[in-house]
Amino acid sequence: MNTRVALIVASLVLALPARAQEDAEPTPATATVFARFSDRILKIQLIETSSNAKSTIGTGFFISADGLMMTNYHVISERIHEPDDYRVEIVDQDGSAHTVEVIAVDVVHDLAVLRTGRSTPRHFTLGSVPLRQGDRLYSLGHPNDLGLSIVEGTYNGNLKHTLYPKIHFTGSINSGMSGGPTITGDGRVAGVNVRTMGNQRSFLVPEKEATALLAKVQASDFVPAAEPLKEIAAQLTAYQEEYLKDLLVGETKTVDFGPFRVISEPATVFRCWGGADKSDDRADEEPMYEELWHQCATDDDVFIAGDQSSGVVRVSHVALSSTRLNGSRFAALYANRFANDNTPSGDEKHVTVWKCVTRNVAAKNLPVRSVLCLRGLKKLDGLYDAVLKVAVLGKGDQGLISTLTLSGASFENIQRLTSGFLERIAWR
Amino acid sequence: MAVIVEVLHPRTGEVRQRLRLERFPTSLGRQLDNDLVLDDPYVDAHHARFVLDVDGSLVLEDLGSVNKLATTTHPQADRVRCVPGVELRVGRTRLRVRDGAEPVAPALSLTGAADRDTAHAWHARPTARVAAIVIAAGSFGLSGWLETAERNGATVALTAVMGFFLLGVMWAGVWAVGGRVVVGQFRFVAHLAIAAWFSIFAIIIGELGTWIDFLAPDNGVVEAAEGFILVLALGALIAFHLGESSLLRRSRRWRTGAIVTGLIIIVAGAFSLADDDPFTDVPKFSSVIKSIPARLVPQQTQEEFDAVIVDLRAGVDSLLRPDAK
Repeated sequence: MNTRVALIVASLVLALPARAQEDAEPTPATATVFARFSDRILKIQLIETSSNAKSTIGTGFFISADGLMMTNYHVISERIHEPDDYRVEIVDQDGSAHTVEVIAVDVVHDLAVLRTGRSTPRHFTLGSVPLRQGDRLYSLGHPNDLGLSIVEGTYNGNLKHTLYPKIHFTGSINSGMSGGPTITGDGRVAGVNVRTMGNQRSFLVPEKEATALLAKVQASDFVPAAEPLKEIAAQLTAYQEEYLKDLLVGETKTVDFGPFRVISEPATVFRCWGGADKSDDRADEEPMYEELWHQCATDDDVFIAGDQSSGVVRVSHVALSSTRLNGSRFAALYANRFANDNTPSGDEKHVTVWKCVTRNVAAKNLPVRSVLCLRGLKKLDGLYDAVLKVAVLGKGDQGLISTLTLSGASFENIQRLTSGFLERIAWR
Repeated sequence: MAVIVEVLHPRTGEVRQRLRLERFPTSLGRQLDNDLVLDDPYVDAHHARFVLDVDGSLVLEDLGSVNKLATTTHPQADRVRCVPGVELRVGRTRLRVRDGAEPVAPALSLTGAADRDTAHAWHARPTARVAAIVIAAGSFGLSGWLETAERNGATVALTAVMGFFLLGVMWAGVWAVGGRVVVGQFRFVAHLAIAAWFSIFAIIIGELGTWIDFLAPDNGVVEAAEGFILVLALGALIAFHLGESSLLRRSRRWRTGAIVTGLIIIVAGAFSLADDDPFTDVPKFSSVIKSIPARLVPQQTQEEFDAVIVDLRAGVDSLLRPDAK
């Protein structure tokens, strides 16, 4: 039996390079790729109508013979939020600009479809592309408005700690290339350029999502949303239902954290890290107090507008302990840490001010001081940002402050996660 | 009517000599046989004389002098009517006419004005005053020490004490100087003690506020009451300082305190109304934590907290749709 398994594994290992050799076409020169496909890609600019000046630069590419073009939602988001103040233009190779219409957006995957009204045979055809780690890909776009550029890079699989799959592309995508395609040597679209962490760490929206959005637009019963913001709110509502539904349900992974037991990795897409600090480092004396911290978050969020994002879930814990401070001094330190503001920032255009309540609550396992701050998203009906801060009471010189941050969540989810979070704070 | 003539210092206006006019004419000049002798080289030997006019009013008559008589309106007068209050110049000498029956202010007490009301009160005793100052300074030091969790607790406490004295000395100094000017009493320690009492009161109110905030959070009434009490205390502070540094009656002092307090409230109100950009993305919440056993802290159940959250949502929704309220 064991021998058979080993044999199969061995044959697979042998088979892989053989298959790769069969598949491998001669990698085309980058210049050839550029020459063949560059005319399917145009610069997109967002014009502020009163000043007639560019506010955002991006890239788009043709995806159908009737002139539909794919780009990122974040390139054209201002048009959605302030339709009276912005218009979207495509810029031809000769520099002439033409106003186009946004007909569909997928805010969760950061995609948008534009209707240019042209018929063109020079378009990409979306469809699934088998990729292996290390495959060569070419990313095209207009980095910093410097003219259409091509960047070589490699496919490195999907990101793990994201709420939906994103391709990890090792190549230099720069701002302005957003919305451009990343293609194989034979011109099949692997993904849409979306963001970068610098140093060649770039991310792509998988082709699958673009295909799905195109299919929606090409359906016979498709009509562009009369109120795009309502559409976006609906997409975000459905999205947060999906990713929050399993959070803090049933058994949740916990870690021992000082004398406490706290939530860690609320779901597999979370990445956690932590550390310990002392008030000071002296060889001869005990520190005044010690501070442990533990934090879990996903790697990405959904861009809504400017500094407004959605889909952020962050869990953080700070444990304080001291053998040297008396009760009052420890309480003052504890209160000081509890007052720390680590709420997401926000712009008056998009969010209301925070409203908070504070109560001393007999939670399931421990008495806590509990603060919930809530603010509404002005343009996205039914979605809120929330921060729950909890401090364990009455443990003398031991303190725990736990924080749950949610952005762009429905009130029902906020309510459910608040009580789930309170229930799970425990003494070891 | 007894008429008094005062000879004033040419620059400071200080009274150098007084003469009661009893018989007329009364002469004045540089020569020693005059009734009023003026040592002024610009004055003639026999310069002028006070006479009664036909209607009985007092007049100063020039006797053909070189410089004649000068009033505020007329630099070379021959006759000047001398009603009480008139000031005139003879040569370079200033004269002022006064009525002997003019009323004067009541005498000042050698032991200070406030003592009329509180001379024997316990808080007016020197030991009580020093104790108040020491307790206030100590309270500042203690709260500084309690608020730091670092090793430099003693430095922080000392800095707080120094801060109290620095501000206290400036505050009490201003009041004491004011008292010196108005009633001739520089009562620094008394003023510093008043400031100390106020500080102790404010610290107690503040501490009481944080305890209530801890035990019954989001208690808007308590927060407002705290502010109101402190503003009232400020009015009292001013009234007490006035007691040490003015001759105002008690009711006037308290009225002044109330007026100043009212002005502060109006100015503060105007500033808060003028704040035309109230948006902030920093939340405001009650973060006090006190060190007492949890069983002494009133607690709500999770269900009750859930209900509070529902109300919170209603509050946020009213911001989202202000017209739907």
